[in-house]
Amino acid sequence: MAVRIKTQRSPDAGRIAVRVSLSGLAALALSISASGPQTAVAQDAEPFEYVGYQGCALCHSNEPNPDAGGRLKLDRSFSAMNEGRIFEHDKHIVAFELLSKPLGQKMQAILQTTKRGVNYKVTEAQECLACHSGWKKGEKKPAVYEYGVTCESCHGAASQWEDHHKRDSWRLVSPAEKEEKYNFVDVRNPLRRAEQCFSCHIGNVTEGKVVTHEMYAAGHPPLPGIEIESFIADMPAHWRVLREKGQFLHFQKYLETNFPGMDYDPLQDLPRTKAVMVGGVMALHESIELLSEQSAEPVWPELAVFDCTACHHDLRSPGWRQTRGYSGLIPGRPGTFEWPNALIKLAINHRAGGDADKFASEWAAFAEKKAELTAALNAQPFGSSKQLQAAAASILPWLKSLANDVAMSAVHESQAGHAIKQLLSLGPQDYPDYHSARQVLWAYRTIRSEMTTAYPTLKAPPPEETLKEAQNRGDQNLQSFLVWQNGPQKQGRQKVEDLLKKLELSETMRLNLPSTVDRQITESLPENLDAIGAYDPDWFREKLQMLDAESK
Amino acid sequence: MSWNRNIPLLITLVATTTIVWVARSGSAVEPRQTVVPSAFATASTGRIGAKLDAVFTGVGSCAASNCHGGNPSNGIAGAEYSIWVQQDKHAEGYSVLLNDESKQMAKLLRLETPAHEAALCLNCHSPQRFEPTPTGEKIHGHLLGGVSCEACHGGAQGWLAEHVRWTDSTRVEDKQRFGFVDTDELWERAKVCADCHVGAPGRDVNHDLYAAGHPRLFFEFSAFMANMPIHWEVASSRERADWSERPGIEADTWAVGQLATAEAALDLLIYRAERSETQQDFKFTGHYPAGQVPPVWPEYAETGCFACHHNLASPSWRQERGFAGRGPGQYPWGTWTFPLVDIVTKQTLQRDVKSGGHSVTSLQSLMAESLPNAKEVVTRGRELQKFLQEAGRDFPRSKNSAGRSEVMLSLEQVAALRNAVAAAGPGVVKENWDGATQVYLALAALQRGHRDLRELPVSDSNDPVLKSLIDLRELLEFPADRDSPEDYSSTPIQTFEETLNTIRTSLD
Repeated sequence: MAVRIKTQRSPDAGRIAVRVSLSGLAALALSISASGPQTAVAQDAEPFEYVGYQGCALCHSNEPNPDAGGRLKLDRSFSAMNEGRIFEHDKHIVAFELLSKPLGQKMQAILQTTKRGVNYKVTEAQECLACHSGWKKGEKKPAVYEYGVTCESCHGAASQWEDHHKRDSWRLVSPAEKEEKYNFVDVRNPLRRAEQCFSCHIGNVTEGKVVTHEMYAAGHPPLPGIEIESFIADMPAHWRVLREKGQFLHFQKYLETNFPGMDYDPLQDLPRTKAVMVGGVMALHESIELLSEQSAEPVWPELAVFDCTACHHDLRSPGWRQTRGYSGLIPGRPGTFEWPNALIKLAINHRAGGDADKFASEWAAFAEKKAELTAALNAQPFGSSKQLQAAAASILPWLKSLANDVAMSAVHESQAGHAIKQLLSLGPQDYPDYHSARQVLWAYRTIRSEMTTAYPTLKAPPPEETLKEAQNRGDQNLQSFLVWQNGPQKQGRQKVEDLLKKLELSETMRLNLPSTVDRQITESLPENLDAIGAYDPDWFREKLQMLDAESK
Repeated sequence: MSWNRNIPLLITLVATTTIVWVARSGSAVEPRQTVVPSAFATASTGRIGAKLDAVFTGVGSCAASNCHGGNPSNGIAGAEYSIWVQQDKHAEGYSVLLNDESKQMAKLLRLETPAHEAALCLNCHSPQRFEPTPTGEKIHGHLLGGVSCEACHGGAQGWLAEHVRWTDSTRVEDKQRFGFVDTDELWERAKVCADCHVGAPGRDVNHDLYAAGHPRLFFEFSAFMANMPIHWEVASSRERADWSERPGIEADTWAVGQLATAEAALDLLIYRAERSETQQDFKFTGHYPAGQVPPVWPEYAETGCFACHHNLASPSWRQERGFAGRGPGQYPWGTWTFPLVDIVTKQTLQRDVKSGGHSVTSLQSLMAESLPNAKEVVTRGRELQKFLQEAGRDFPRSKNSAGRSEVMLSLEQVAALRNAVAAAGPGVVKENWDGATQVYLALAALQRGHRDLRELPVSDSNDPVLKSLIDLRELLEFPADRDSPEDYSSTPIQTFEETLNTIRTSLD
């Protein structure tokens, strides 16, 4: 049987078609190496190498529907084995191609006028490929990089884990060991997942993933605020959460390994709500880390790690920025992005268990650390590097531990209810900017959908089950999941979408992303930018009150 | 200034002495010698504002009805104060500090004192420049008069008694040694205005203040003079613009203003750059200092406002235009002050401000960096400042009817300047709004000056150039709900260029 993998045109590689026989599955058609360890993990043994997207696609490109008959009977109880198919529609896969499109080429022309020189190519430069492919700083350039952002970009360079992960005994390996020994990134953990996504979508200095102000001026679309679960849903996600899988082989041991010391049942968790809260904290963590690490770079200040619209706005008098005030920052000084702060209160409240006094004291601790950052920013325009780094060193561990506490705690419907309540209540001094408002609305959409839609009922294992029976049950559960995904889950989300549309929030706040390979960011960019310019926080406050009324 | 008092000298002397005595005893505290505090001590000298040993007596003494507070319907002479207090915005200089905008500014900055008690504000909004932190009780009554006589004419204690004796033939040097400012002379006058309207050490409206709500300082000498009600004698009563002192003066003020504004801007830049070394020592206590602005570097008030202050848009006319002379995303410095200075120096002095060690271009490269090298900026800035000071000094002057040396451009010189601006216009306007506005103001001043010298009425709706300029002005106006040129982009720029071409064909 032959497998045809999605092919992409790229300047150098031409069309690649891979035909593989069943017996050749164990060996890979192409084994491409890029030496250099993952920068995230220190390793003194053999370096981790990239294996290449084609390798993963060999197995992970099953038909979605198990009844359609795969070329191979695989156990689909844990992984649906169709990730490659889903990923064909995912925007990540055209990330490299975009560089050759008109906008990428225009950027190239402008950047060629800088010190980079006339031979500069965006399709070859590490500063572009770090995010638009998988070439992290400090690593050798991957031999194959035209597939954009693919499996190993998030799951880790696969040379060490590729073999092991095929066995069901992999479920018994701890996440820590997976990361350290095999370089398999634990993306099931919302905290690690957020770090991976945000490394590009916010930035990461160590990995060389920074969109600079120069690039923006040359035409790079501004990085929007990212709410992780909303972006994930739109990819669309190519995985199932635990509650969508049903029980698989080694299920109990898997739970013990991945949720150690847990005093709650992860099968009762609302994982998306949890991920919204964890992502909300990690967004701030990664933003501050970016700011701090960039301030240690030789070229500082780097304007792009500050809020675009702090400067880039038409002047008005009276203007809402003056009416709102500058919360501790000296007026006129460049400010950091506001939106990463929008969802912190959810995590803090969650950790405080909804207790008002505990919340107040936790919030005060957070505010104190933020004040250090503000003081660093006030020392001089763009902040004093030393003070920024000190403030970051103080707040980053606190944020990480907050994220971790949320990730390792129960999130049930009542907690989701608390979160919704918090999202919809703005204090008298709260005038969120455009991107912060979007965070609130996206979080609302995700949490509310999850709260109001029951997870699918899946077949539990009988006391005794053969391997084949387990596989069949896994197929059935996958089938049930797909039906549920296209039915109740979709409808549940649609209801919330309809409410947001009714209140004119969907359109004005551009809540629907130009996601998948079918929609171009460049097409919606003019309107998106206009929406930012036209935004009025007073209008948003009113709308939020209306949303609150409708949500009751 | 003409002197046509008809009062016996003795009575005048007595009257004056009495008035001065009354003024002195009326104030709460003895007029004091202001000492140059170290914070203001910079390398710049010769600036009007730097004469801090001048002592201010307040507007009350000038305002006496038989001195300068007479009835304007009897003519300007003797009614200077009356005209000024009724019509001139400078009279409101202090009272604006009590309005809502000022209160909001003080609130946003969390100023240590209210605006009307802060030297930060009073240094421009009153005649006097203070030591860093005056408090309420040290505020003198004379401050309530706004930006009054002494702000421009110099602190009067030295010359108050003397000036009643001066005549048309009194030499300028003999006035100046008493601390009297020679506002007759355009270069001196422009420097006086620029001291506040552009800024100077201690008179620094920086970006922090803008963000708190202060209106932008954009100074163009001839336009500001045109808007200021004239409170001095005009040489003749021939029909022309109300403020026109003599034929063609709009063109003269334009040219002188370009150089004087640039020189003042450099002085301020150097001051800001020098202070930046001490930025590390500045500790923000939560309240903006009321004495003077802290050292801030990079100082965004040096950069073109609208380079940053525009909504992001796609497609972007800025990306289409390109970033000549600097990298994408770098700061454009001096967009208001420098677009046309080169034309003035080239046409009148055959000197080039754009190349060479002193050049604007090299300073623009330095200031384009996200953190400009302050030391380099000071070095280059001083060279450019020297160049501009020499240009001001060497600017062609001729003897007027009274035998005084003045800037009086000839018809040919005005035409040359005007034509050069029109020719350079298209290149300037496609850069940014600031340059386009300077082109508009230049052509307006020069065309009017040109007409004036030909004894034509300065404003005439049939003049094709002036008519086109009205179209240009519409292109430059901000949308109703904005304080920035949202609409300034490819389409208006093209219209602007076409209009400029029309203008060039109608130049005579």
